[in-house]
Amino acid sequence: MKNILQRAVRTKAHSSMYIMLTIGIAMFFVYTGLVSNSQMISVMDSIEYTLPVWMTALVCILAVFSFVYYRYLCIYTLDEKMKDYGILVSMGYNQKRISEAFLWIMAKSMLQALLWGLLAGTLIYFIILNILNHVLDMDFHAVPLQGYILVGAVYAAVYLINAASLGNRMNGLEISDMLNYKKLDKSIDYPNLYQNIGFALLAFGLLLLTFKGESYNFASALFPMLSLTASAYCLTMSFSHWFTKIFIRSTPKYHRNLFYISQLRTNYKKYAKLLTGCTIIVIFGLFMMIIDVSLATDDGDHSFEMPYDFTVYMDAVDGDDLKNIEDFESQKGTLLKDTRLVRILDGAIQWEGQEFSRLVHVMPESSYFDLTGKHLGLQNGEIVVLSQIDRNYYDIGTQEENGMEWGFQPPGPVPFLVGGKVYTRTIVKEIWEIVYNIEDQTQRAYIISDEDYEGIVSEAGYDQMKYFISVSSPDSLPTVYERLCEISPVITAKAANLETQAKNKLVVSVLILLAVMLLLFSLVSLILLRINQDISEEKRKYSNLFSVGYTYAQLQGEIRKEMATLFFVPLVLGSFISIMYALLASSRTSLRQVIVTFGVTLLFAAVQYCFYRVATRTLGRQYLN
Amino acid sequence: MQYHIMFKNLSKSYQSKGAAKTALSDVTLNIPQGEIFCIMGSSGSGKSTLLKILGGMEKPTSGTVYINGANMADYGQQDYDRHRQMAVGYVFQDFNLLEGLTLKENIILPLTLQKVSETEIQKKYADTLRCVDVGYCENNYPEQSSGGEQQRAAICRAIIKSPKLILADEPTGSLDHVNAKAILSTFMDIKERMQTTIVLVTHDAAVASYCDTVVFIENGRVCDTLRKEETAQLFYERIVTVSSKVRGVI
Repeated sequence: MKNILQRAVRTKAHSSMYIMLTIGIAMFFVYTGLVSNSQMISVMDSIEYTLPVWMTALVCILAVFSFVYYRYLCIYTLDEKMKDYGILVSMGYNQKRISEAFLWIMAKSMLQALLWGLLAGTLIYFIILNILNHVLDMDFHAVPLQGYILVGAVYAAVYLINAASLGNRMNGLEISDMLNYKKLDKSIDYPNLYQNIGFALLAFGLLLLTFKGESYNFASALFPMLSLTASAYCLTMSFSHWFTKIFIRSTPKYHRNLFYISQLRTNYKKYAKLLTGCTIIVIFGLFMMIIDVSLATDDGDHSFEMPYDFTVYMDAVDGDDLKNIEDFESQKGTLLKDTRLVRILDGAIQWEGQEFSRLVHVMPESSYFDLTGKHLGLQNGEIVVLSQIDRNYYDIGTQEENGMEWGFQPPGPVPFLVGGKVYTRTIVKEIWEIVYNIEDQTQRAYIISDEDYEGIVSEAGYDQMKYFISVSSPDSLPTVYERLCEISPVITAKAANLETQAKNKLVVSVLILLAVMLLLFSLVSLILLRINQDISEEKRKYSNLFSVGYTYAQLQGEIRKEMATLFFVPLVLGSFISIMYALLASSRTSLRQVIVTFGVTLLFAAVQYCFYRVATRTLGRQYLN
Repeated sequence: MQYHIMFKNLSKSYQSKGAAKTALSDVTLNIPQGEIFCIMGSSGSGKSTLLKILGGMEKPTSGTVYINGANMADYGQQDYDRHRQMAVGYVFQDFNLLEGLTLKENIILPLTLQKVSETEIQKKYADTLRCVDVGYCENNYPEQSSGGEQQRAAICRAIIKSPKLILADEPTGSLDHVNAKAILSTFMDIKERMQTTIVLVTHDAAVASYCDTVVFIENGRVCDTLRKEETAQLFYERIVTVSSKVRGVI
């Protein structure tokens, strides 16, 4: 008896939908693992400090997507079996037991997908790490424990919420409702409202991107992304509504497209749901691809930001140190192109009301003169802020206050910490100029008068110096480095920095490319899944059209229209949102970036076009044979 | 204008799971113009296959179909397209209306394929409504209409292009007695007004009794032919007798 019930309740396998779920889980796990890997975060951070932020935002969106996809899967399966369950109940089977058996089947399927997904995800995760470690000589490790916990928790929640809702839905139905069960018409009741909300959200998202605050954080990445994604949802949900309106406006067009209009009206929600999913995938896929190509095509010539080959750090300088430098210069004179020994103290300032945690350099005016040959004419108590950013290369947001243009800190008194003591001086000017090597692009230098500097040094009881060296030929780099090691244990080399950055860039590039490939795979899978689900019903419609008098060429035309909708509506809408996000969210927008953005979009469209052609031909064969 | 159809030694077989299945075998028939011609037989007897061949939707394995003396075997793809678009109107048991179109939109669909002007479409639509009235529910979608209304709309869709031949596959199969009778009356009316040849497939003797000629098909072969020469009631009785004989009931 129990066995019969279980066999009767059993749902269709829907393996393709569960394969999609498994891929989704694997993708979710891989990204959760990567985003929670601190080494990976620092690599991403070194390339673009916003990368970890929007990667985290992507994980959040994937969690929401998981919920929606699973719900769709459950409802689809239940819709198919509802009549059968009605028959079972009418024969005397207990409705609650049937609903429990159904939920148990769904739980088993979910568990299988979760296990396979986690297994595949773990494999992919470690393959990525191994490739990066071996090919690029990196040292990534760490088991993605957070990934297992988060993915497990998210999917447990997704299952429980959906199970509760489906259980209520099944138990709340009368036998007659089950026997006469028809798939709910889920078309939206107020398409105009959806359309208007869609446009409003689009405008709001763009506004958020345009008026982003000074600092880029999780919220400033997530909210525009959510707003734009929601606008994509509303616009695609109502797309057939305004698409139909466009066709009905002209009579010849209306007559030419009667079957297409019929498809828009009947497959309304089915198309809308699918297109929403595809649009969201296009948004993320294209955005990632833009970032990836931007990174790959970036010429990487930031050498101007590091004018010297070596920086030697010296704390508590004494006579021996200075003698060592003198000897070094006399011995290696021919190998050296330029050397500068300057006094620069490490200090800290308060930032956003926090403790003194943001590092700054403090240097006397004479050091600035040694490096640049320029006088600033500073009085005691005055500070000139040195931002070592090339204004021709970076788009720096500046403001004007009391006749002074500033980008980092406004004019006025500012406290700073050196050697455990806080000093307050007044900012009178900000200058943008590459003067010496700095580790962190965001680090600034306070230039103060020589007298002020001497006072601080005497109170601190120590002085710090930085010795910058340029060599005359790259061949002499190893020899010079070897000799410099005798002067100080702390030396940084430009070449090594650039090499590390290039390597990090490659790591991020590989990661993003992988994500794009996964997203493209999901996109095509979703579309093919939709086509596959309805193939017999659609074939019947096309055979009906054939009997009405459609020729093969006309039927091919109808297939092309449908496929174009599936492949290009998400592309057009998604790429618009993606391009806007890529151009407006970026801290700097150059002509190169615009070219890359549009180039990548065309490339993405070309890939989509290939899939469109393949789908059209395949369906032509399927429907018309 | 004459429209005469003749099948000669027509055979059709399908490949199913590696084995050949014969749907029609050596069928020879004459269908005169302006008749309601009935093909009767049990399920799987080959009657729908015959209809599909006549409609240009399938090609015979052997034998010939002559339409006004022209051999369909000589038709090119364009001739087949023209045949389906202009000469034939199809009516199905389950109506096959497009769910996303109103009854009116469904009816005018065949004309939109022929690139007919808007004025012409409206004129032909009005003419069609004079034969079969669905004007009162023309803006309803199929799911908002009754079975009878849907079938009348399907008939309108078949006759709006003024075809020379209407092929009806179990047209009353999904309808109750009253609606079935109304549909058959419509067919008779169309035959009288437009001199259209109607080939109707059914397994229902009552439906067949409305026709001028009834051909019995079993296992892909023509077993018997009856012509209506008496009242509908007597003709019905004759059909029932022959039908039972053909099926081996008697």
